[in-house]
Amino acid sequence: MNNTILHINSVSKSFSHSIKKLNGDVSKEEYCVLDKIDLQVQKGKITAIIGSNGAGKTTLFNIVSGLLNTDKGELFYTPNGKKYNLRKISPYKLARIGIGRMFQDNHIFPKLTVMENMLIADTDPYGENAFTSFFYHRKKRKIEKERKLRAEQIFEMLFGKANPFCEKQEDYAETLSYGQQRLLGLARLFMGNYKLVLLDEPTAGVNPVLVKKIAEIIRKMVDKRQMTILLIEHNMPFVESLADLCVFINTGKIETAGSVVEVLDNPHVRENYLGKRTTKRNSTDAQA
Amino acid sequence: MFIQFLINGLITGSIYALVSLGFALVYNTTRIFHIAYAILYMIAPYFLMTFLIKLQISPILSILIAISLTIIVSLATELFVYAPLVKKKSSPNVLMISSIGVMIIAINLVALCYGNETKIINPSLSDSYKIGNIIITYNQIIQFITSSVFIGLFMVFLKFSKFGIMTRAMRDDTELCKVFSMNVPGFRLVLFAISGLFAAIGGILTAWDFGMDPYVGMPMLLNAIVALIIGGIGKFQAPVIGGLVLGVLQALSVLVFSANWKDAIAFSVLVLFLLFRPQGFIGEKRRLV
Ligand SMILES: Nc1ncnc2c1ncn2[C@@H]1O[C@H](COP(=O)(O)OP(=O)(O)O)[C@@H](O)[C@H]1O
Ligand SMILES: [Mg+2]
Repeated sequence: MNNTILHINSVSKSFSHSIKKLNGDVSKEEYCVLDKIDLQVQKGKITAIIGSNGAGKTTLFNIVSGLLNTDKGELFYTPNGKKYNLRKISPYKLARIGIGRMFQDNHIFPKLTVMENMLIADTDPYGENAFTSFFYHRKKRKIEKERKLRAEQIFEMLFGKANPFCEKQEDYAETLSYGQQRLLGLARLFMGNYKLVLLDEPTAGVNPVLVKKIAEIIRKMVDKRQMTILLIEHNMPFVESLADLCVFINTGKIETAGSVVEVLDNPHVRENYLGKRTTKRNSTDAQA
Repeated sequence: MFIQFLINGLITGSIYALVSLGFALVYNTTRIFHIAYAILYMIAPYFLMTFLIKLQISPILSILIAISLTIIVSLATELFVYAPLVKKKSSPNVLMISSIGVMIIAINLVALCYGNETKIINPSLSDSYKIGNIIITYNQIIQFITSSVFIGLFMVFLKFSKFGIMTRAMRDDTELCKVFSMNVPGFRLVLFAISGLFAAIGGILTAWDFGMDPYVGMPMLLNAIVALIIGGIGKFQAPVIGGLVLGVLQALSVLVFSANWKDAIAFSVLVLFLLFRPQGFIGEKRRLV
């Protein structure tokens, strides 16, 4: 079991909302968004979570990254021998212990420069304190210089020598195109010492060329940095070409899990999510 | 005459700028319309009076104590009023009304303890310098230098330090800050402390010259808000530019009309800006659709 980095044990979550009846009574209705989710995320692997809109995928991410509390169940994070109980750790400490996250829509800080967007993702807390940053000027300078250099190296490693990110590093991040903003959101995850990265629909709304680029970046996360990736996706060719494992969530339950081929060919998954396959599977390089 | 009023305006404006910056620091990052900020400005000189005049402590020490106590009051509003309400997911309106409540309670407490009448901390008339036919008092010089130094230092930190990047990140997206290892509740305390510092300095500088009563906070808060709006909400340079512009406009209105017109001018400027340039001097136009 020491190949597991994240243990999700029987996690449940309900939301409640008030319903006003015709006679004026207000009743609270609970609805279960996650129902006893069990998932062991394998270290160094790319695991894709698929399922229709509203199935509870993002809610699961919010629970893992501490933005929501669970009602029941346990979450353990075991990056390297140590065992962290995620229910007992404040969310802001998660990045320090190596859990990174990219949201579904807000990827960047629009009014920070491209470079600042990178710098803020550094998990090393040096220079955050308003009062210590007043003193120790030399040391601060050196560390900041080193951080900047590291960011530039990441841009070069991901996007080649002459890339728009290095050129536009002093511009507001909102001046980047939508696709570039997404790439910046991913590149930023190389700044910290992340071991487990949660990506919420990384390819939603970007063009096929960028989809390829994104797949490349995610591969580099795994190959160069030994990150473990947990990603939510609706783009099946992307999942097929990239992921090692796949989990199908339907109305708050994990209904099927296993290798990508297994899950995508599972009749139940086909019926409830993907639609019937009309052609035979051939070699999967159907990116664009 | 004109230049004299212009200089007076810039000096008052520098205090507006500092006080407005403290308000903007909280508003831009937390979206709290921090009405209770007015009491920080008002209460700092009362603290100073207590230690300097009643307890006869040395001026420097008294000022430091007064500023520290004001910062504590600022932190207390966050810890005991805003943070619990935010935790309960209260709406911005609820926060604002609670803030008004806190302000009224504090004003009444101060009126009860110190009385309603105007108090003077520094009874002596300030020396002044004369350059040509322009007169600048010693107090004015201190006011201008102090506000400028604090504004300048803050701007440098905002631009270049990681603390500054985090402050601007908070303005952009608090949720995203959380996943990048920012302790948002803790960071808010730092912001409230700095905000309290700016209010305290502004309050003490003004009261040293003109004295104070329990009601000086509200008009100053209005000036700060007008400065913020005419500068352009969302940017941290905005309150500085807005404060200076407002100071100058008010001073010139004294020259053209009379001193009673000051507040009317502030509000006319506000209305004109809201109508014709809602994004302020340096704000960018929002897309309407
Ligand atoms: N904070 C919340 N409060 C109430 N309901 C929520 C909240 N977050 C998500 N939900 C509901 O939970 C369900 C699952 O949402 P989500 O996890 O975002 O789905 P998806 O699988 O598409 O990412 C949806 O019905 C959504 O309306
Ligand atoms: Mg989602």
